[in-house]
Amino acid sequence: MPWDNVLAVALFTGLIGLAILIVLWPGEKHGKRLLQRWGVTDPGADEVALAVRYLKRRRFWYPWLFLAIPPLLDDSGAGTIVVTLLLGGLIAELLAQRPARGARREAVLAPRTLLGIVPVWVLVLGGLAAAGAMVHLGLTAQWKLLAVAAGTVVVCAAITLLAVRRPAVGEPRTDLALRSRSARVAIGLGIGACTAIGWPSGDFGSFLVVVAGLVAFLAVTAPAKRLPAAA
Amino acid sequence: MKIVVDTENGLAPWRQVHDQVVRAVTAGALPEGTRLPPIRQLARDLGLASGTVARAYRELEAAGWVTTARARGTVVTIPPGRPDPGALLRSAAADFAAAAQDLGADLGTALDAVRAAYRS
Repeated sequence: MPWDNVLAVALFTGLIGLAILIVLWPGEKHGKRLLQRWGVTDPGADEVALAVRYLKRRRFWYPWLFLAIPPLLDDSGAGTIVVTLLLGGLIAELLAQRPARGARREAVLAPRTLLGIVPVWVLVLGGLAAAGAMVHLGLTAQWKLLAVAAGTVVVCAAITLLAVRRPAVGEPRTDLALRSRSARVAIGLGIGACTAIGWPSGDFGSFLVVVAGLVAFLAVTAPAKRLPAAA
Repeated sequence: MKIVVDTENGLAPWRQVHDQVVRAVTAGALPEGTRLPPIRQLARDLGLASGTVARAYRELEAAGWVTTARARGTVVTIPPGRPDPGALLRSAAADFAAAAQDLGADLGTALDAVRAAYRS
């Protein structure tokens, strides 16, 4: 491809990415709504600022991933959206691992565990979806799809564990709500993706499994009405 | 139960962690049997080296404020003959008075500093 064409494509893609970024860019209203949906009642200004930063860390990557993934994966359907959300979440959680910088640092004197931020039933559903998809793909010798499902499981597990691991910031209830959201959205996306990847044949049985996966995805990613008991 | 470490207040971070755990146990905010976070979690949250928090835990264990077991992690214990809150307050006041005298502050200035610290 000539260089002037490459530059034109890059410029055009960049402009589209910028437009998507402007539409997605979160403000205080979005931060407050996110916290309220995840069980934080009457969040203060600091808590809202934390939620906005949490959203920005994700949404900044979405446009660029959304534009870069289709040519890389040769897919422009729902798979692109799922991969965009998962990779955006993974990058955001990796960035959140940076330690506290200021002179005054706070922590909660309680152990933080996976079960403290994600209910058991969510983990069980995630495990069943992952194991079911991989066993089915293995039995039907669909090795390429098996690798994709395994990769999806690894990314979802990494996001979940990073959400438990990252340093605490802000009010404990906000910190817990945002961790819980990260983990549950990652597991929910993993369930939806695994059932879709694991049963690609298009017959009635596959359709039922994919619908069950969709229902599980909605149940897992539905905002918690109450925060998990603080660890 | 929150813990706060200020890396610019002149007191070693491990000492700040140690003292706050002791105060919390003495005040009843951390009852006997309460599990403390693992060293690596607390170090990450406070932006400190693991060795710093490990030293605080070691000192706490040596004084009998916590015990560490492989399965349960680090758990709060009540040491025999522990000082009562009044004695701890008097001890902290004595430390502060000594530091204020070293800095050449008179009683009024030292009390002003205490009032300001209370307000903050």
